[in-house]
Amino acid sequence: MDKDKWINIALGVVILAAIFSGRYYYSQSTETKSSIENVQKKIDQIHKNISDLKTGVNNLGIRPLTVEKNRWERQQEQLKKELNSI
Amino acid sequence: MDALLKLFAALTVVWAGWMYFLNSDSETELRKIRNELKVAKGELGEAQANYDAEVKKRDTLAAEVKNLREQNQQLEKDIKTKKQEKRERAEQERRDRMAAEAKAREESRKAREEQLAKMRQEKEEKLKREEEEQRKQEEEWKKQEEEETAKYESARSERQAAAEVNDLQHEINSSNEIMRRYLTCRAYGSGNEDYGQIDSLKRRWTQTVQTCIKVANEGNEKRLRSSSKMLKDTADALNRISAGGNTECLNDATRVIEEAQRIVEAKKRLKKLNAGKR
Repeated sequence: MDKDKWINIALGVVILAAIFSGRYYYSQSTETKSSIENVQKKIDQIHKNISDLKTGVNNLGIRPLTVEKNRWERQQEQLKKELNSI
Repeated sequence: MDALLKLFAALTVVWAGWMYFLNSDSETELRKIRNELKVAKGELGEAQANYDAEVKKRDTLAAEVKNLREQNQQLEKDIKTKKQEKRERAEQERRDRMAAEAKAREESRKAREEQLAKMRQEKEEKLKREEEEQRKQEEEWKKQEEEETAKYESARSERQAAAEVNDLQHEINSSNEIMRRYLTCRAYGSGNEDYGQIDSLKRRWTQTVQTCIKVANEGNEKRLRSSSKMLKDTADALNRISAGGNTECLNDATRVIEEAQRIVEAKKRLKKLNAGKR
């Protein structure tokens, strides 16, 4: 009787421990998933920002400015030659 | 009851284990995704830095382009100014050159005019001198010619006068002979004539002949003409006197008249000679 009692008590403890630990791990898992989603959102936002930055870099107009600078430099050389030739 | 409890306990443990597994898997995934987040943040930082660098580069380029544009504009202004100065300098040089050329032309023209005036003056003086020399020469020639002509005419007149004198002398001698024969004829003729008138005619005849000789020696045409007229008148008077004489005397008177006419002809020849001499 006692043995069964103790077994039952043990089983009850195990059951309770399992329930609490399962509940704990469940809640932890839920929080972790939520965190994962948040982090994923952050990562997506970061990727979007990176993409925006790259797009912004392309839209800065450095290439036309470079072309224009080269054109002005060539023109300046021609002007200097012309000025010297006068 | 025990079995049911055991089963419930087993299920509870399994469920708890499953929850643990799920939790550990989620945590693993969370760590993984946090690493990804860290990597993404790093990429984002790099992208941001790159973007900032590109922006800075863009600003630098824009500033350089602006500077280049301003420098080029300044260069264009300098070129324009220099060209303008060059044009003005060229224009000034051209004006100076034209002024110098005009001055040189003016000086050349003045020098040429002065030279021409000098040459003209020299030419005029030379022409004047030549004209003066020519005039003197002509005067000298004229003088020489006049002298030669006068000399020639004098010699010619002398020759002509001498010839005329000879002719007149011959005619006069002939007339004198005729007159002598006429007087002789009248002395031995009818004797009805007035001897005084005959003597007067004789004197007159002689005087006239002497006058003719003198005039012929002088070469005076007018006086010779007058003397010839006197001779003719005398011949006419003799002709009238002989109208009542004999045939021989009449013939002699006719010859006297003819001789007188020959004297007149001699006068005409003298006149022609004088005309040809002039």
